[in-house]
Parts: sequence; C-alpha cells; structure tokens
Amino acid sequence: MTLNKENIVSSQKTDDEIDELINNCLLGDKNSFGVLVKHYQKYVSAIVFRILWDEDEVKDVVQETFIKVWKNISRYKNEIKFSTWIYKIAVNCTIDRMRKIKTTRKYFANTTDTNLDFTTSLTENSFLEEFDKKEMIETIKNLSYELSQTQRVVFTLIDLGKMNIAETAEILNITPNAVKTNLSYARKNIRLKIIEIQNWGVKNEMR
Amino acid sequence: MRCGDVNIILLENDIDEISPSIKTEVEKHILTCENCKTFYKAASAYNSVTAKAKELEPELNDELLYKNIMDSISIDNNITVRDKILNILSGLLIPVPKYAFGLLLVVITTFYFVGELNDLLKISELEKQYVNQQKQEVPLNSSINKADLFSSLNSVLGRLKISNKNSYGVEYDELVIGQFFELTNLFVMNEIKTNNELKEYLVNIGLNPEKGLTKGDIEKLLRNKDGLERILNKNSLTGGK
Repeated sequence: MTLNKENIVSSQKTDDEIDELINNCLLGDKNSFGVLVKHYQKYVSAIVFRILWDEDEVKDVVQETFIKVWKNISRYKNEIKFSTWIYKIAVNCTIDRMRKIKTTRKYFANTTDTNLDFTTSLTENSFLEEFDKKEMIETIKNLSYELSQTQRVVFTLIDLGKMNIAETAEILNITPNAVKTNLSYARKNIRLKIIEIQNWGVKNEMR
Repeated sequence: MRCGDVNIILLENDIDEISPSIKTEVEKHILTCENCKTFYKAASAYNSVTAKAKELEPELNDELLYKNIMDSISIDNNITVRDKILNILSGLLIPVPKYAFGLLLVVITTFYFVGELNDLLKISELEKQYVNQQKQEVPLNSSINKADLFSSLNSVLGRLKISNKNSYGVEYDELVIGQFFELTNLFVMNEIKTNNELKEYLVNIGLNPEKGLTKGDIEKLLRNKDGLERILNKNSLTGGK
C-alpha cells in the first residue's frame, strides 16, 4: 500500500465534518478529538516512520504530535488544510526528535558494513521482494545516510509519501523552489549512492 | 541530447514523470552511451527501492497508541493557563512566539532591574544633590572643623552654669541659651577655621571655656556678637572655609 492519505485514513471525512470536529474540540470535546486522532493517526505514524525508521521513536513522536494538536487547536486557521497543519506539527516533532537522537546516539549511522548483499542489482524487483522489512529499512537508511535533514524530509514526503511540492513547502515552511532543489539533491545523492554501492563503475564526479 | 542533459534528467527527476518525447530522447541516448545507461539503471533502482519502501508500515498497536494519546489528553486536559492565554492571544491575531512567556519573563525581569537601577540612580542623584547642597554650605575641607566646633560648643554648653531659679530666670536662661545656640550655628555656618580659633576668641573676650561658661559669660559673649561676626566674615573673606 502506498503512503497515500486517501487510502490510509481509517474513515473518510468531509471538510465540513472535520470543521465540525475541530469546533467541538475548541469547546473541549475530547470525543471529537478522538475521532480526529483515529482519522489521522495512521498517516501521521507512516510519515514519522518513513523519516525515523524506528517504531519505538514513532510511538513517542505520534503521541507528542497529537498532544500538541490538542493543545494548539485554537491556533489552527483555515488558511491551510487541517491535515497539512497536523503533518506540519508531526514533521516538526520528528525533526526535534531527530536532533535529540543525533545527540544521544549515532542513529543514522552508515550501514555499509551490514551484511546486505548490495552486489545484486537493486533493479531486480525479485531480489527486492526477498528483502525483509529490516533489510529494506537498512537499505533506505544506507542510501539516505548522506542526505541533509531537509533533503531527507522532502524525499520522504514526496517520493515516499506522495505529497506535492506546495504541501511540502507549507509543511516545512520553505519555498516551493527550495523544496524542488532539495528534492533534486536528495534524488541525485541517493542515485549516486546506488551507483557507488552497486559498483557500476561510474566515477563519482557528479556529486 | 548531450550526456550532461541526460545525467541531470536521470539523476534529479522522477523518470516516471518525464514527458514521453524527452523519455524517447533519453532512451535513444542511453543505447549508445554506457555511462548514461548506468544513470538510467540507478534511476530505475531508485524507483524500485522507493516503491518497496512505500509499502513499509510501522508495526504499531494502533489501539494502544490511540489509548495513550487520549490518556495523555485527559491528563493534560486542563489546558494550562499559559495555553489559554496563548489561545486567546492567537484568537486576537496577535502572533505569539513559542517562547513568548520566557521572553516576557526576561523582559519583565529586565524592566524590574532597570527600574531598580533607575531608583538607585535617582537615590544616588539625590544623594549627590544633597552632598552638593551641603558642599555649598560647608566645604568638605571644613567638615572636620565643623565637627570639632560642635564638640567644642557642646562641651562648653555642658558646663554652662545657670543659676537663676525663678520662672523669669528660667525663661531668661532659655533665651540666653537659644541665642547661644544661634551663635553656635553661626559658627558652624561660617565655619571658624579651627576649634582653637574659637577658644582663642573666647579667651580674647575674657572668657575661659576650659572652666565652663557662666550665664554672665554667655551674656558677655552675646554682647560681643558683632566682634565675633567680624571675625567670622574675615574668615569667609580670607578663605577660611
């Protein structure tokens, strides 16, 4: 299943229904908030997971995200979609967590030394199919190791999350052009990394 | 199409989103260029990996996570006063930065201390003014003399011998003492240069301060007030201050 908002949310809600739930939350209605949590929880979890690749961390960040949503819901303005607003909070919480992790342990360590067999072509889908979840996570972490924080988030939101440029720009509070640039760099870095670890013999002069 | 253009297309773009015409050009190019073919393979591998990664879902206990979230909300249900204020302010379209309260605290503390400092400066200014006032009246270099003078006069006063016992006498004595005080005040204000000068003057008019002054002595002193004032004026003119 792709990380697509439309097919991940547990039950579809119209914009009017969402607005009503928000208004109820403003009056302190926890049940309405519960409905919103159920509606967005899975997608938020997926976004955070694709950035951190650590389920224990994901639980904490998702919880923190929704607490912040509850506390700050009166600040939400209709200028952006409510989902975008929530993802913005989630991404900010994730970035905060990445910073904390970075200071406590070598989270995004280069995994080149792992036992993954990168000599087999990654283009062979049958080979990728054999990767278990852990191996796939290690592959992604390895490929995205050299990305900057922004590049990693942009890559996740767009190429792993199917968000568009404008929404990503809104979430990260940067310009659409900055998103495009970061995405280009992210793709280029990962593809060059693929060439490098696959030992395809192209000099790394494109970096 | 040149290698440089193909490289950029293959390394920085989503090959699935390349327009058909460009894609055809790229495919033509990679048939003859091994290097660019590698970039094409890398782009394809990228698509395979990301497609696979998109399928990865966190294995979370959604119900438990939901419960934890709702429990946290319940614990934290009573939105703090800080949050309420933030909400009200944000409702008023007043941008409130994340650390507004911290900033506010710093600002208040700063103002408080600046206020305190100003008060201190004001006090110090008042002190300065007071000292200046005092300086105008009594130069600093004569303040020791002033102290000496006072102690001298006090000792003189302590040895005053008032002998009248009737009510008129008491009233008269009070008058004499009052005048004497005025005189001593003149001493102070005009600053007789030294204590010795006072003693010398008292001796000159026939008084003996060492023995103590009688009422008659004081009356005598008062009668010589003019002479005394002349000496005082002389001291002023000669810089005795």
